[in-house]
Amino acid sequence: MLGKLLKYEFKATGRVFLPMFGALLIISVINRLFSNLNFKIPSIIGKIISIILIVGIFALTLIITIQRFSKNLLGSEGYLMFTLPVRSDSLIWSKLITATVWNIVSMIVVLTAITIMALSDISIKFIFKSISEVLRFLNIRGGDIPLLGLETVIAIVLSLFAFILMLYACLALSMLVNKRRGLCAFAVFVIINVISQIITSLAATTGVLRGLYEYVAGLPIPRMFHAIFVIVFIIELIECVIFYVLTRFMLTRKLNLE
Amino acid sequence: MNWSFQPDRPIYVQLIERIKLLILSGAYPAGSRLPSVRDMASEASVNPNTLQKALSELEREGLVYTQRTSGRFVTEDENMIKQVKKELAIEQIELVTKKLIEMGFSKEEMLALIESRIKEMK
Amino acid sequence: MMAILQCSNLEKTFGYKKALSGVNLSFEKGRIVGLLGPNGSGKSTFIKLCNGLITPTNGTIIIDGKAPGIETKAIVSYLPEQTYLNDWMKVSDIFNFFDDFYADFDIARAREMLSSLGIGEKERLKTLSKGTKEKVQLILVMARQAKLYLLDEPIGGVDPAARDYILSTIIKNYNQDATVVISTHLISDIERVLDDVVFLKNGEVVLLSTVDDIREGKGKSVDALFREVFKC
Repeated sequence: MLGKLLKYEFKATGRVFLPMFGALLIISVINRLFSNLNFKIPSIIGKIISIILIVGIFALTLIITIQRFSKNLLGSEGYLMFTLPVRSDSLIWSKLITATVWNIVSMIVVLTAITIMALSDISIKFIFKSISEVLRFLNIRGGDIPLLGLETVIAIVLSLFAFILMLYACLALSMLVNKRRGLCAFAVFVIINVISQIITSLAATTGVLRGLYEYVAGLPIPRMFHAIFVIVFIIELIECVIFYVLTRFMLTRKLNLE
Repeated sequence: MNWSFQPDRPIYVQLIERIKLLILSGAYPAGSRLPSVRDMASEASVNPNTLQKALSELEREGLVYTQRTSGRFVTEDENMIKQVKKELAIEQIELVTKKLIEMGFSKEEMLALIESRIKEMK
Repeated sequence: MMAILQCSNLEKTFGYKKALSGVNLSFEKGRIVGLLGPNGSGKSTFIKLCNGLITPTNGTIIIDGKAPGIETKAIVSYLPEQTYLNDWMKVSDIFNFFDDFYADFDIARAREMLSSLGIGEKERLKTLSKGTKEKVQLILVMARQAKLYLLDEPIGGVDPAARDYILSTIIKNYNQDATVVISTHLISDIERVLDDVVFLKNGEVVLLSTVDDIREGKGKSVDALFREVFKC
């Protein structure tokens, strides 16, 4: 059933994202032509439009991530979604996977658009050269690169999971009140962030963790990076579990549809 | 079919009367096939179980019969229909005459009144 | 005969407010049951409990031998009071959606019902009027060959023509072995389609009877009895 849910989730969101992505990529290509042909004023206008589109895409990604959960599950559409013969877990996962994919695709599209536009000023060769210089400076050899790349991808996915699940938990907790749910969800969001700030600073000052930090800082370069990634994975996973359990509890035990 | 029902009597009893009337009046002719319970119930907006109960009663009286495979039919026995029609008429006449006698009409007065009334209706 | 729905000692509280208490009911297969009571008497709460949208504070609900969950959702067809249609699908999309998720959805029958109403399959849900949306939703619910239909206020706030359409659609399409539960506070309109009635008052069952028994035994319509029981 998760597959079917994903199919409809991508249909519902794709019709908004794909035109935006298409528009940005087309504008980028046009921009590139304008700057190649030295059209000064159209090129400035084109750049402004593409900046607006880039900001728009990031805003849209956040809005749709929130809206697909709050409107489709917690609003009147919830009467349909929660009476389907599917588990609440499948509902949460279908939203989470779709939102994560669109967040990543948004980043890739924006990076691609910037690359297309900047191609005339900075060459791809230069970009690769800079990256390899940085790697050499950090003392990372070729053999470590695939593993570090994989760890970077996992870290991005896990932190997206944690962030999106935190949004879901805030929205789900807002079902405890009957009015001004948006405001309530925002308040919960602020509170959760304050709490996690406090925990982080407490952790940094306690003796046990300081020992861990000193140990990691003393490791040789590639192993130090691996160790940092492992710590990040653990923290993000803990966040994911907390927010997932909270969301699931609210959806199964405290459902209060509008 | 706009079927309305009196509030104080069971609906299936009223359904029996209504269907009987439809058969006697020829709306459902002798030997004809009745609509399915579901279609009839849907059209009259009544509960299919209630309608089923009414039809079973009519079946018991012999006005309709069921053929295992092809559904429910009005009896082919036209004499029987006539007989039932007559019984129903007598029932109604008895009701009216009883009332009129209570009101003090004589038999002759009643007959004259009914006759003139029928002529006016034409 | 085995009951399709059975609840014992069912209780639901919201905060301090008791929405349902001590409800013991058993609905047999093949019956059309009226869940009758004024607004706020617990009708919707009862139906939501049966759907698994909310969980009971106390007591149990058993539907076809199981507690509300995925298996019961597959055999229960629910018409909520609200319209739950989204704003981006076409009628054909929501038909396919139902076909995907419910094994008992009869898409051919749904199409037939739709065309008899003169609604196009390519119409967007967003552009439909409120009344048409309600009809599309009724089609979705009644085109399923479910074992239990839970219809929450299906005729509330509609005109007489729409009400007739709704009642005849329910009668024509429900699965014959299934049980239909209709909640309403408009009894006179619906009395003739019911087998059994349940009166709910302040979250408690105050009467459980067949329509024929009320009419035969008390010599009055269910509507008249309802007005007596719930006299202000």
